[in-house]
Amino acid sequence: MMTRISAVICSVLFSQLVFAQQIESFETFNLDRESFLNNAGALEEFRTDLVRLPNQYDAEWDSWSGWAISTMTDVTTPGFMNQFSSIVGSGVEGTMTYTVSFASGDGSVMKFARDDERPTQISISNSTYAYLSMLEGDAFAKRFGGEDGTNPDFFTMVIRGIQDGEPTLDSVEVALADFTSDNPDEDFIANEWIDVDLTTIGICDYLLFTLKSSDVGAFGINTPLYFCADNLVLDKQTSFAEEFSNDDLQVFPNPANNLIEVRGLANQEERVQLTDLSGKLLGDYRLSFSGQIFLGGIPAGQYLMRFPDRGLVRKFSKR
Amino acid sequence: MRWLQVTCLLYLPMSCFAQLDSVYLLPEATVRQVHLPASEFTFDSSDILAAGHGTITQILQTEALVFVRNYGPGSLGTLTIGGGSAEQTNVSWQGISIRNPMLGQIDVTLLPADLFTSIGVQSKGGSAQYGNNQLSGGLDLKSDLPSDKERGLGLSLEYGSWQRLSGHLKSLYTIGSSKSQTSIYGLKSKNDFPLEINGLVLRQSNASIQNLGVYHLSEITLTNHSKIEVGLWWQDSHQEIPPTTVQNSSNANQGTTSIRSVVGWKNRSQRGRTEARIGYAGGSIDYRNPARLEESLTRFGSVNISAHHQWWYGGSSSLTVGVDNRIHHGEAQAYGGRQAENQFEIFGGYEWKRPTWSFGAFVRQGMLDEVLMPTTASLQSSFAVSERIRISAGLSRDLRYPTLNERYWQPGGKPNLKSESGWSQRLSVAAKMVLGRWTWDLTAHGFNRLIRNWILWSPQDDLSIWTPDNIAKVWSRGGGIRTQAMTHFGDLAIKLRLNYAHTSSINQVAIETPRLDVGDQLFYTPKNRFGFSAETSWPAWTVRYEQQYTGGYPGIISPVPSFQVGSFYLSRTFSWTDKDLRAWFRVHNLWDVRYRVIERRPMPGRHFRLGVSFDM
Repeated sequence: MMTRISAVICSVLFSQLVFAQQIESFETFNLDRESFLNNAGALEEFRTDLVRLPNQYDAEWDSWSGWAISTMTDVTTPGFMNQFSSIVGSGVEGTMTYTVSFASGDGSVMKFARDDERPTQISISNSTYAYLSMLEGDAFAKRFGGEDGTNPDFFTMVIRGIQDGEPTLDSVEVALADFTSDNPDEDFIANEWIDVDLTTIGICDYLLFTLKSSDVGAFGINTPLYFCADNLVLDKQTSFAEEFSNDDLQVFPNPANNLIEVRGLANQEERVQLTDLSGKLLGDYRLSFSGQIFLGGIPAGQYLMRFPDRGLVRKFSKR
Repeated sequence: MRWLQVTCLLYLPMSCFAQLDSVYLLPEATVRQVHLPASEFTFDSSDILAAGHGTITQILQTEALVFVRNYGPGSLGTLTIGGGSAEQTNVSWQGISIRNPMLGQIDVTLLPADLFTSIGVQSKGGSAQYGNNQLSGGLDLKSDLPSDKERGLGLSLEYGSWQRLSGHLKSLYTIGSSKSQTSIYGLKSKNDFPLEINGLVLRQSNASIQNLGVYHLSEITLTNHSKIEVGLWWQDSHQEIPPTTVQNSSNANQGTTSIRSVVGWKNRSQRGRTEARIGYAGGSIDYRNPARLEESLTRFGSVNISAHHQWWYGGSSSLTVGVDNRIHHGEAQAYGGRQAENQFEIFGGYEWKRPTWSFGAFVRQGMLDEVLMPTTASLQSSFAVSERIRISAGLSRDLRYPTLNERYWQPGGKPNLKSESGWSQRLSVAAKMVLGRWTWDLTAHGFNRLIRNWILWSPQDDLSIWTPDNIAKVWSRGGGIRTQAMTHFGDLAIKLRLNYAHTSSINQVAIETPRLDVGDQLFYTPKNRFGFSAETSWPAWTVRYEQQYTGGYPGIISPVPSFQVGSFYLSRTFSWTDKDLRAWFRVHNLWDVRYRVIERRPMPGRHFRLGVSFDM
């Protein structure tokens, strides 16, 4: 496979909880610097172990749509001829490879290699083409702010999860440029990677990215409909995903004294682990429906109750 | 035909008026000229003279029926007549079409007005008479050699705002039975006019234009009834393409080279007339934007061959039969090389003329690359109600072939795209009256036209490829009035001209991209235009004032507000025997109105030109 799976065990504070994550960084395409792939061939999609990126390519005219893979670093050349560059000039944290999408029509689709994945984060940036178009204007699209700089312009990405052909309840909006504030000092066009939290989207089969702009005419959006993406993070999914609801799961009281109770477990035995914040395993249990765990032997502090089958972690304190 | 009669009758009382002054004033022109169009109205030498070294845009925009989609000084300008598209408007020079066959249109801001002796305008389809491709209107540019001089020399210079400098040197000479005129002309202008945006005064940038051209006409008289006409026209232009009002700067520029030539033979006998013509109109457009790493070079050309013979019967009727052959070629990277097409047409017409009425029937059959195209035809009649009033009516089926870009541009082009076609009906009244010392001409017209298979480029589902399709159906209707009053008090002559046009060009099929709902007026098509000019001349002095009003219209991005622009012209001629020295002063946009014809493309405020010419 062209893409490796990064299994990362994080062991810091809450944001670095101990659970399995899969990160798609696209580095394994092994492109040379200042190059791009806009032709996925007969497969009509770029494939990694985690994602499928649709791509249509016309060899005769070198035209493409969907997704491309890029290591381009040009942050100064405006226009269509520089359509494969991120305005950051690299991938997230200086890595070389990232993806570029032309989110035309109904938007760009990022499929997962398996159904029912839980995306938790993705990094998004403006393309150089779109960024400079919004910053300077061009023959077709406006400089954001308009003639006198006061137009409430915006360039916004909407990310939706699609599960069984239906959109998930929550979507996520990402402001790639925003001039809508009354305070002009707050106007911005994003020129860094933006880490986007996707946890509210939940389990889905694929992500749909659409772009909205204030610069619209009869032919649609004038702002170039390009963006760049990198570092998609997926949570490992449980095989019990459809058997229980995390909404019912309760870990209480918090803070706890010597006993903590877990309710809302599956009717079959479910694995429950107690760890400290460094990830050190303090107890490994198999419970069904509900159960109590004795905390008498551990000192006061913060701990994690992990539910590996659900890919879920709850933090609590012991007095 | 009942529906047609009903349509015409119902429509007449509403708003259908127009100009058929040439029909009234020059009836023989409509009867005797089939292949070369008799224009509905013509800008004559006084209009052209008042334009100084301006382009024909300056003249056309004073006429309500014609709308120039003008992107600003030095930038593109395309024509729309009667609510049609630029591609549906034929532009001919000395009888040959000079439109770019790749685009199907021509940039009228690159056509210097003073090269021509008349600019004729037709606000109707005329495929059967004048060639397929004239679906909504036509422009007929003509240059004639002076008939009253054998030799002469002329030099004119003009200076204007924004470092505008232009010159025109022409030489008239006669050798034996051949009379020729050769002109060299040039223009340079920076066009860095001030713009005011929300109280902030900026200056337009990257807007300069340079033109250099050579224009030659020859007329060789073979016999009393036969002559050969030759025209050669080379022009090289370099334009910077300015930024929009929402663009920081622009580095784009474009070089346009045009080469046009025509050789025509005319022979007239007691029984008829024969004309044959061969011409070439071609050139190149070299677009570059170094900052954006963009380059585009296209080359194109058209060979025009036509011939027709007209038989006259008893001085009251005529039969015309002819053939037109246009071979277009275009070369662009997006064509994958060179593409060509052959438009071959045969046509015929029969006309009757009686003292009080005339009738004409015309038909044309074309082939595009050996594929038979729909037949076009027209019927026209004219009836003199009295000595001073004439009513005319016309019915035609017209056609426009797809352009080379629409057929071959890749990705997207479709070689088998259908032609646009439409039926149109027209009714007009022309009156001429003498009221005291005033001579008054009034023409009014109404038209109705339905065009099917209107070609529009739109993006496919994934938006990465744009393709042309026969997706639109447009119903255009409207009318207008055109009136002119003239009088003189001794040496003082006064000419007043007023014209108004209403054009409703309504989309009939909902289109997603470009966004057009059923009932929407087409983009950049004003519903109401109004023009007025007043000119007084007192032997050597001429004073002229022009005012034009354009009602608001939908743009691609946002509605374009209405605007009014006035211009002032003053000239003085000094004459010595056969020598003339003329000086002129012209103020454009006299009232310093801030306006735009295309959204985000600013037009200049008040500016002037000062010129002098010497002819001997």
